[in-house]
Amino acid sequence: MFLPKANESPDFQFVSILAQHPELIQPRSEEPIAARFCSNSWGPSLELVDCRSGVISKGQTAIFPWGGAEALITPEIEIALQQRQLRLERLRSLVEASAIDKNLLFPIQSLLEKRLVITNQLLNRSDVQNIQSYSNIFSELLLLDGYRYDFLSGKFIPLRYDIVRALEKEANYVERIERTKLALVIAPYFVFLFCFVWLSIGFRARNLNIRLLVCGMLGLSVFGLLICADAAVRFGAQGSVYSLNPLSATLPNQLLWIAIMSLLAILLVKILSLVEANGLRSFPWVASKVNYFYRNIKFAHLVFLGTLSIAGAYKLFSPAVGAETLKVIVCVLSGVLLSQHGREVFLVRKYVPNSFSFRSFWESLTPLDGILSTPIMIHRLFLRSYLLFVFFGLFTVGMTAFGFGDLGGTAVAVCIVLILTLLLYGWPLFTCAITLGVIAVSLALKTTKVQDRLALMLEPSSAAVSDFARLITFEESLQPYGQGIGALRWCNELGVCVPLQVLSDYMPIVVSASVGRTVSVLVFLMIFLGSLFFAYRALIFFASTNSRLRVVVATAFFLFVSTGVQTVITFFGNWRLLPLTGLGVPFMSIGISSIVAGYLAVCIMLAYDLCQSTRRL
Amino acid sequence: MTFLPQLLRRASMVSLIVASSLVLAVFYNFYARGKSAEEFETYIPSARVAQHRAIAKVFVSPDESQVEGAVKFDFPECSDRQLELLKNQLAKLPSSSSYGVKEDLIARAYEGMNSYRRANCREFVFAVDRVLRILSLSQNKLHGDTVDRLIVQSLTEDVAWLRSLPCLYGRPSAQLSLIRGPLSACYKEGVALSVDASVTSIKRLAGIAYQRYVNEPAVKQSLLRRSAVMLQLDPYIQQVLNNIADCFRQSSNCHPRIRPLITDLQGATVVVTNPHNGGILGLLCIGQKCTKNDLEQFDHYAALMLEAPMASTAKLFYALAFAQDSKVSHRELELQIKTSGQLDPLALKRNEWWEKTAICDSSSQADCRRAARAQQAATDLFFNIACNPLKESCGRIGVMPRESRHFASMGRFAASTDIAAYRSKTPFIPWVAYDSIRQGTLSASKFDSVSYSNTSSAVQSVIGSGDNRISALGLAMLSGNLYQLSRGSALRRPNLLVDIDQASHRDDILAPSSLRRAASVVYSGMTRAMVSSEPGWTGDGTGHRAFLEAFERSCGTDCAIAGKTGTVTLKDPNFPGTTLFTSVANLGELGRAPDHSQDEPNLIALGVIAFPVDPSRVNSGHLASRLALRIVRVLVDGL
Repeated sequence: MFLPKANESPDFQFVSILAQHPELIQPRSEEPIAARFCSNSWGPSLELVDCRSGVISKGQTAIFPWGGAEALITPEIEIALQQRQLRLERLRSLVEASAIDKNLLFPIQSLLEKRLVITNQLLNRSDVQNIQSYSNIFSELLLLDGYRYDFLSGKFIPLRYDIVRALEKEANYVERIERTKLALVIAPYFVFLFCFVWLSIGFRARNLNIRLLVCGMLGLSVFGLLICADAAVRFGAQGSVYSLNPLSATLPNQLLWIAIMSLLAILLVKILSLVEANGLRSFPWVASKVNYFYRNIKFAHLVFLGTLSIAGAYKLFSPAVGAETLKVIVCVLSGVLLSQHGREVFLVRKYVPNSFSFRSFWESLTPLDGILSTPIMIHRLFLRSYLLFVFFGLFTVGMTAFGFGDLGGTAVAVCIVLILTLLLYGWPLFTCAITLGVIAVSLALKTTKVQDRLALMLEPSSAAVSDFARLITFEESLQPYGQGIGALRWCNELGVCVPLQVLSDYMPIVVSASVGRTVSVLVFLMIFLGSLFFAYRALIFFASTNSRLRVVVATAFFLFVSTGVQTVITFFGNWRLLPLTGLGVPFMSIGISSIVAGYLAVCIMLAYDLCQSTRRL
Repeated sequence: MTFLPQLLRRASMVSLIVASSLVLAVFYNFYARGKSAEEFETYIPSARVAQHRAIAKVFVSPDESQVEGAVKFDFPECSDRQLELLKNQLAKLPSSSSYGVKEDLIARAYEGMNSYRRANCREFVFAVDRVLRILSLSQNKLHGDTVDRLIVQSLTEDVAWLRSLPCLYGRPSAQLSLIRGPLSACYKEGVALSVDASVTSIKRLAGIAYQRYVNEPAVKQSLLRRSAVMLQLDPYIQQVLNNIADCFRQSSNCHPRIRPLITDLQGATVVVTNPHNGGILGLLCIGQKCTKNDLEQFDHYAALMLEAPMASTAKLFYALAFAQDSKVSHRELELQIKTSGQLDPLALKRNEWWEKTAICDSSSQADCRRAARAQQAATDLFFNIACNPLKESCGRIGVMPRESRHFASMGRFAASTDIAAYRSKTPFIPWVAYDSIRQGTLSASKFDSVSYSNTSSAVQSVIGSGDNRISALGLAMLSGNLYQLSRGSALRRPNLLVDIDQASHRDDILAPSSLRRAASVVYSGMTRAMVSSEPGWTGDGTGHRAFLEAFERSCGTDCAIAGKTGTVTLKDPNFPGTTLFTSVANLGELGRAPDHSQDEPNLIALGVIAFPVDPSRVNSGHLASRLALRIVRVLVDGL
């Protein structure tokens, strides 16, 4: 009942026409007509030409025939225009003849009409006033092909959501919308199956709170899916900026991600249960490999592999995948360190209380011959891996913050390192780390990027970008109860839409706009306090067990902590209490970056609980 | 198990600190920070605005923006292409200085921009490009304030969310056409799209009108009710007027009938209205006067604002007053309108009859109500609005529904005159005495100051001098409403946009019957103004020559055109030699081809004010009437 109706989408209606006439969809021409027109005017090399005004650089010779730019519309351009004219006329007649709600297709009809008028004017040399000007013709040709000209780079850039893209094979518009249509049809069944599978596993858990954890995860995921479906169907329909819905692909993609993550999570639950039950004895080959790995791999190797994976994820995939990889790897390494040294550090502190003094710390760093004192030995034992981890932390944080510009991922990673420091080495080192952090933040405040983010947070109506100003009016205007799920007004009538990252970075604002600010605060508290509670539970499990899953449970602790930190950063960023970092809301926002850590943490807790239940039985 | 409490203790302390900070932060977010959505509805990037202003300041007033020390044209961050673009931008700089000086200007602009926020090369080239585009919007040098306003305008974004934008329709043909507004919401059965070439001529003006209407406080505040308005501009008439603007810009596209006039014109304003409903059908404003005082932003709408002295067109108000007086011969009044005074060599002064009649010089002055009636007639015809007390907005009128700040002006006629002062036993001094004072042969101190002042005011206003002002809109509406009154019909207010529900409903304002009768006399006089001389009266009508020149034939007694000319004295410091023309023309009867759509209005009212290049050149004739009648001819024949 909260799903939007398919007939509310102009894209769905438009595709129903296009799908019946595949001949209208053709390959994109090698270069836009505007580029051809520009080279006709200024010569073939456009490297140092500003095609808008035709200004010539570096002594290029103009071949512009003064006395009417329409003369530059060569037969070759005319043929290209005629081809477009034929397609547009055919499409217009199909749209006019269709029995679809005219109200919905009026904007598309208007766009087609506008392009037809331009084509006719150029071909018939009518509206002489307009087409005598070179720059007018150039801009109209750009519009006709749905391109933007970046005069600073001299490149012609296709507008991704222009109606022309719907008629190009390369854009796969019809296939994309058909997928969204299908996703909309299967969404209710998917949700049912998804909930059924998770609940049937979750309700085998011994602890009520693990059951609640699964229910919470399901609720948030479904809530996120409903918002995503609304955007996939209705985004842009009210405005005039996007002739095609830019978020149409989000619903099938999100369904796919959730399905994959659910399958992996369930598989992981099974594997972990097996590990806990018999240490993989049923699979001797796997067990031998794991044992080999466990014996030979050192923390330094893990750190190296982790760094490579993070850099690869940022470079090869996307910042979102990179951030999630960073988060998970930092949590895994923290889990390993905590499980390796947690108990030992505690015992050392108990029986050699002076071993963690600053003096012994410095002495442990300097090479000394002869007999070493106990504190130095202890330091050398524990601090090697910790310092390696700190080095890894600093390196990856520096890499992500400065190399990839990802402040969100960096912030979460720093928090994890700080918490690990506190848990392992207590307040003195934690205070030192915090002091270093404060210095680093003070330095970061000097950079333009951070200053821009701060300006966006403090003065959104006058910052460098209008994202927040738009989001604030969007959210404020729908208070106190929100506009309801599946009925959001994503764009206003002036043609201004909420930013396209709305389903990832700005999910808290969308939640507030959908169901009101009070509910959005409750959602925040639920995720944050839930993460805190389950991190606490994971810590208890970790400290009170000798299970083979100790490392994994320690990792779950850090995953929950990272989920909590991410929730705070995202919600507070949206509420303008912190600078915006580009992180999503766990379980709710679209994309892989919001679900991996959360699902991993849930499935570890579930697996641990199920193993405990089996053991008791 | 002793390991656990220590871990938990640390974890819970951190949690406690974090949780309490979060509660405080949430509390602050919802209760302490209380900015309303309205405060965010307009997005103005202040740092970027400041950067653009800094660049504009260097380009507009290079001398005031000196920075200390020499600044080098050196941009190491820029790519080759960006450097070339910067150098090309030098050529567009509105300075006539040498290349080296221009390089210095660009370098100073970069310094200025960076003083607000560090900008990279890309941002700088982009900002310079934007500023240069703003500066090139006008052929004249723009004032710093105007540039600032345009910069803010170009960077501002309206981010209000729940506003229902109005729908703007037009009727270029039998079919209603949507010109502006949200497409889905404004769609109606049978509505055509505005992309049709037939509305191209009015697109720009429609955009300006729409923007103005959208920003009206009453429209802005109506969040849920969508208003639908109709634009009265006629695409064909506007196309003809646009062609005159092209002529003025020396375009080869200029119509041959218009071209000969252009060299004599320093500028002109034209307004065409539909007398039947007061709809503004076409607008033209060309020349320097249309770009001064920030008028450039209004494009041709400046024609609704620009005012000139009334000159002899003011006689029409007095004519209405005279025609209500049984002592004034209607025939003589008509002939006086025809020649705008007396050309009879026996009469010493051309305006003598008008001046004398205005102050009832030859009869008892004690009950002389003519000046008061003339003022009342002007008020009835929508002049002098908001003139009591006299203020800046005196004479302005609303042309859009729910308009709060009126920008269009009709004009003001004897607006500062207190009618009560006419109610004395001797309200005026004799005309001969007044004329002697005017000539400097008699002292004004010999007469009662009130009587002298009344006489001066009446005489000044009958010849349209003093502080009497009229716009092209006022001229068009004057003729149009005189036509309406002469047919016994209701008066019409001017309108540019009307609520679509009321587009066919006319806001009937019935004038007193005495005024309607008087108007038929005056209108008849205006018809005579277009014909040649008649037996018993010396001189051709004041519009006759212009008609002859435009239509290459004389206008008969059944002429389908009526008009009245006016010429501002050469002694006027601001408008020497400016000519005015007010007229009503029936295009159908003048011979317009029957293939024109029935929806196109056949009857039009024109108001023209023409500013001559050289006021002393007598050969250029009465420019306003010549221009008006050529426009009528082009409308009749087609472009």
